[in-house]
Amino acid sequence: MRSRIIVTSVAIFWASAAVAAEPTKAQPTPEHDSANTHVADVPEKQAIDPPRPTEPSVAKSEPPIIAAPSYVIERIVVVGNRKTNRRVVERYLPFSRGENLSPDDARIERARFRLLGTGYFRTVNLSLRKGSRRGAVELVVTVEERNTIVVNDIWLGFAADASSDGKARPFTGYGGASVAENNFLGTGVGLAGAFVLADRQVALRARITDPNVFGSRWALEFELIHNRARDFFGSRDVLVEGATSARDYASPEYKRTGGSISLGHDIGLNAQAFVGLRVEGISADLPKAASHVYGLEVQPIEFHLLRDNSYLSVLRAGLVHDTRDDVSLTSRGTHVLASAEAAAGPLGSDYVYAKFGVRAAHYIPVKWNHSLKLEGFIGSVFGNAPLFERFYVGDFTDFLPDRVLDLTFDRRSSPNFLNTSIVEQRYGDYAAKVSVEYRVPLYRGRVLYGADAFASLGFFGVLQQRDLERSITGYNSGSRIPIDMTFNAGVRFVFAIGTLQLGVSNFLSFLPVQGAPGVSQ
Amino acid sequence: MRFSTAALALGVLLAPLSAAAALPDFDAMGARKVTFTWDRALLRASFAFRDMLDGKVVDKVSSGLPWTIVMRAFLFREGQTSPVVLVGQTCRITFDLWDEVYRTEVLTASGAKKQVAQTVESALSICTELRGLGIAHHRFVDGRFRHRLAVVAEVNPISPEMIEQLKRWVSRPAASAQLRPGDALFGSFAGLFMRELGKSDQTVVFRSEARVPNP
Repeated sequence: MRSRIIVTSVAIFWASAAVAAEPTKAQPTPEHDSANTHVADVPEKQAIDPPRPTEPSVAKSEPPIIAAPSYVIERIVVVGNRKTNRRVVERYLPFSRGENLSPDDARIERARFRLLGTGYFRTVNLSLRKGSRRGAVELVVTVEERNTIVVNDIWLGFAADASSDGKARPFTGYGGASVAENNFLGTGVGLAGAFVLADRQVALRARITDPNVFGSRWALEFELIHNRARDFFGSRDVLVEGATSARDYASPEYKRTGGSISLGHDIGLNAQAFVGLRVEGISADLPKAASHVYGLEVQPIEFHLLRDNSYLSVLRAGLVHDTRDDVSLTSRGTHVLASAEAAAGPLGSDYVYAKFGVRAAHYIPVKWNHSLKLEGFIGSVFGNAPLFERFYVGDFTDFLPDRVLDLTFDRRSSPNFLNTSIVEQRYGDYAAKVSVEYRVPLYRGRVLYGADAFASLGFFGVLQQRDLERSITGYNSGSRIPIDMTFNAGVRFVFAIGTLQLGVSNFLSFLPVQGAPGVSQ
Repeated sequence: MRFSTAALALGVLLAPLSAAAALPDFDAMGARKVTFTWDRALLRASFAFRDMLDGKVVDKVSSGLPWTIVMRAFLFREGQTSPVVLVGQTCRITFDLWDEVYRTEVLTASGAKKQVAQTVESALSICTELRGLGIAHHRFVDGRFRHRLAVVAEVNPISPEMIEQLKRWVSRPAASAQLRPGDALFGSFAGLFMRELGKSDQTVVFRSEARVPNP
């Protein structure tokens, strides 16, 4: 309740300031009269009120005002760092021994918050104490360390997949987690791991991050990747070489093992650029031939993987612009991520492609602390990118699980609310989405940081290059455009260890409301 | 599903309530003694809140670094939710380590006043014991109605710019980011601890009793 009152008061401040201006100027006496109790007052402006003899005396004989003190730093002392290396703390202090220091130096406050910004400490306090000679001081940095093990994500969900022989199954589960130690052994280096498990699928990640490599403003990351994955292809009447009858899906399996190195650097206050190289070996167990009915035609299934062993080597560059007021309970600001990737033979890659994408979200506060989120995405892939680098329809609709660590869990197509050829699409070379989300804050607290009700609506499209070259059969003019609608509503809870979202779309997706593929509209 | 529906219904119900709750809730604010006096046409108020400061917060006064308290006083006419007038004051104390005195500076709309105190309590009294603080010209105070003074004082408040910058430092990914949803691997969740940080070391809120400040 207290904080609510404060916020209210701040809001009123601006409205009332103009009202208050006139009397304040006309009667310039919102003055601190108790100041008159001090013998050594040196007012910069004449005090209006006379001294009041009845007021308690505070200081009877004050020394005259002198210039603000200036000191010489004799020593820097770090206190309270049981785990964190002293040098890690000093890395964030823009001071050194022998340097002149004024208590008013803005760098002091900035250094405190820079240390808090590492996430290693619950509290950081800077203070000065006398040195060994007059004018010399010790700069004391007192820190209280915090738990730096963070659960970045927990993934739990349901999906509809297919058995190893391609038979559709109604229900399966998947789960995983991402955990990070952001101050490994007190070195300031972050160590993180993530895993996801699903039926005959596993994804593993390990990452080491130095946010200030060699004390510079460059961040350096190494990541190891391993996926044992499978996917589900085919609209209907799927035939796979070696099988005696048609099946529901072709379900190839593949493995990926590799690693990446990335460098990041801040660009101003709100932006960051990064570049990286990822190299991995891919082993795919694909049928020699497979076909399905696509539209009204029998066509070969494109698995977007090279048979047996292949290599992928891809360069990536990106730019992040982030002015959000809060990373999880956002009410205002903008978040833009632009990314470009290129894989080519000279890099040792068997896959040659280029990929571009931009995702932008803008948050607008509205009445009653509600907020509106406008989001857009556009991306394209040129060349023979592997399937995990293509645009997956499940990433755009709320009615299918997103990919997690590049694993797909669901065999189903988009719900096809608009009766278009989107129902034939799984991976696209081009994709775009626009959406709007309305958020209503329900609760703000200290353990449960917040709960927001939300409702969203979006439209998206996923398109294959081959459909641009030759129209899909069985669909009339407008329905050839592979677009669909998506929506969701629910409550998003933000805890100290993660976010939990309960939405209706995941439940609705298991109701039989999807359009059938291959039906001429 | 059942839970989601219930939560949504709750949200619909709470939405208008949250709007109503934006009004100042005087009953939730602790009441303290505030003395109103008229100095010709100027309404003055005297009050103190030294005893409301937390010990750890007070300890920082002697840190050798500036210690700041920002006070805002709002005069409300009873029954109204917008203040009649607002006055503010910023008081800063810096302990001079070698002269062993507390240098204070009080900033108001009418200017700055520098003083020196020998003890921490003397310095604190300058910042927290306000006597005859000019509040409002009589034109803005309708003598037919009762009025209340609401006071908000923040110790070492963090500037919005600094909070914004701190969020950037905490929330930003280190060296990569994914375009896709669902792949927020090693993302920015550490930014949540920002909520544990207040916007000041301590915030003191209180109000006066409602009374008619007749000239």
